[in-house]
Amino acid sequence: MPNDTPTLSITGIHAGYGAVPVLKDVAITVERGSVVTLVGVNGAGKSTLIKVIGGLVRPSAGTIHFNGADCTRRRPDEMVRAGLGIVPEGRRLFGEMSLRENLELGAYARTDRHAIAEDFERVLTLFPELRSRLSTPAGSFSGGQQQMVAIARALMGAPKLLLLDEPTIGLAPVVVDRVAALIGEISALGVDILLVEQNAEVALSIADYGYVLETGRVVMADRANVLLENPQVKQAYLGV
Amino acid sequence: MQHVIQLGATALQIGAVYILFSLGLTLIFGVMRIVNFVHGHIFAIAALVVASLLPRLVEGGFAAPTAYVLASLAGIGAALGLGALIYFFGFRHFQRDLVGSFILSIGFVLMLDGVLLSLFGGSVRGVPEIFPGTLSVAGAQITMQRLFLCAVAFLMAAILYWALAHTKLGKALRAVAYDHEAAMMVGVPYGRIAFLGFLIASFLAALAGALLAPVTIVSPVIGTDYLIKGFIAVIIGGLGSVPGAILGSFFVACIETVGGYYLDSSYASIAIFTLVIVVLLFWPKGVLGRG
Repeated sequence: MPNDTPTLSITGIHAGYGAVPVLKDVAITVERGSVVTLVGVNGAGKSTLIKVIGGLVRPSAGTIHFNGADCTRRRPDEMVRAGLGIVPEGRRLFGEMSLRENLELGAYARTDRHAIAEDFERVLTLFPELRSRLSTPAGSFSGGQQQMVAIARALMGAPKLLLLDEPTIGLAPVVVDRVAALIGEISALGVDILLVEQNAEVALSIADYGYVLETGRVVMADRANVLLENPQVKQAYLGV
Repeated sequence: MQHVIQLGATALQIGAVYILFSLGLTLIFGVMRIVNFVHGHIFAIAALVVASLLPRLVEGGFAAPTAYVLASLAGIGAALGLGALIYFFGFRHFQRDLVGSFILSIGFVLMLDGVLLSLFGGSVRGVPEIFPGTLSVAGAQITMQRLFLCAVAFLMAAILYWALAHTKLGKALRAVAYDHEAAMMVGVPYGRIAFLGFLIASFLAALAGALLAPVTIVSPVIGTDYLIKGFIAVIIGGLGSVPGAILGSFFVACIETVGGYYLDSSYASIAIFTLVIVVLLFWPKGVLGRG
């Protein structure tokens, strides 16, 4: 496998729920070593795309290549095993289980205990404030902390690609900055990132490349700094 | 005083069986969000296999305890086979579909009623005594067989409780019960976990059947009564909750025992159903239930 194979390459994806089409002919590429963002308003199909990539929603047409392998009809657990990490919309922590159990479940698909223990330490280094609360039920954390836990849980799976679905929604501005900084740190650790966001300003300012999704179609794709200056994007998504 | 101890011991014995029964129902509901009315037949097939195999093994020269263990293994095996069959050809396709799984359940129940009747016949069977003797506690009499039943049932409940909290499979079962999509997104193979949960539940029901066979009269319809009582126990305790199932089982067993002693067993049944309504008025999701 040559090193310039994109981490994720999806083409011609059509998907929906029952007879209701949500995604129409969507194509997205995440190059190795990059942070890619997909911005769009509520209902544009962003979360559906995450579910399609994660194997939770079967596309009716199109292909998904992950690390060079065709993963179009893989089950979610197979995608995770292949190196996909998901931080779902709404965080979806196991609220009644302790923080430690949530992190252990993040490593469910792995078997190498030493590597898991190392990653456990590494994740706690990234989120030092979590260390003293390992036996606290995840549901009792604040919104911002729950977002950190959701990211930490996904990192416990040692992903090659991390999908983040609206990680800044509902968070205080100072926490949004923290999440944005974290995404940079995670990227520096060698994890590629696909960031799905409504908050286009934050997303485009930390991404290398951006896509704009409108009613299930990709309507714009360019370098993130170019999109940030695009008048249409400015008007529709940046409130300028 | 003697009455109280005797009643307490009886409630404990009945409660032990209900616990095994209701733990399975609550586990299946938690993981697959379906109500499995076939659970009573899984219990029944284990009891029937034990009841029909045990006398033959004893006649064939086995010592009673050995014969009982062999017959129980066969009964549990048969029940697990049945459980796997109805999972693969039925419930696997109706997960998280309460109405669909309910209709499927009814179909299976009718079919298995016929199958069990034609395989084992309608006559009731007695099973020879396995562990003779009685234990006397402050004047109350408890047979060794029932003591054995209680001990195994409580041991199994404790093992399940421990395993759910501390093993990887247990954590996966809890994660799936809490949020199956989130569990899938961290790499838990949902299909395999649902199947294992169904098998564990079937095992608990089968174990209850094998334990109960020597102390009761076994017939193909034996499961129905336990299914209803076990179901009431999980409704009271809260569907999907393990401590709720245990609590509900004791509650039902106590009412049944006390009501049956002071009044009449038919009044006890009426009392149970009335109390279910009262409990649901105050706790619509059961005492320890959630979402």
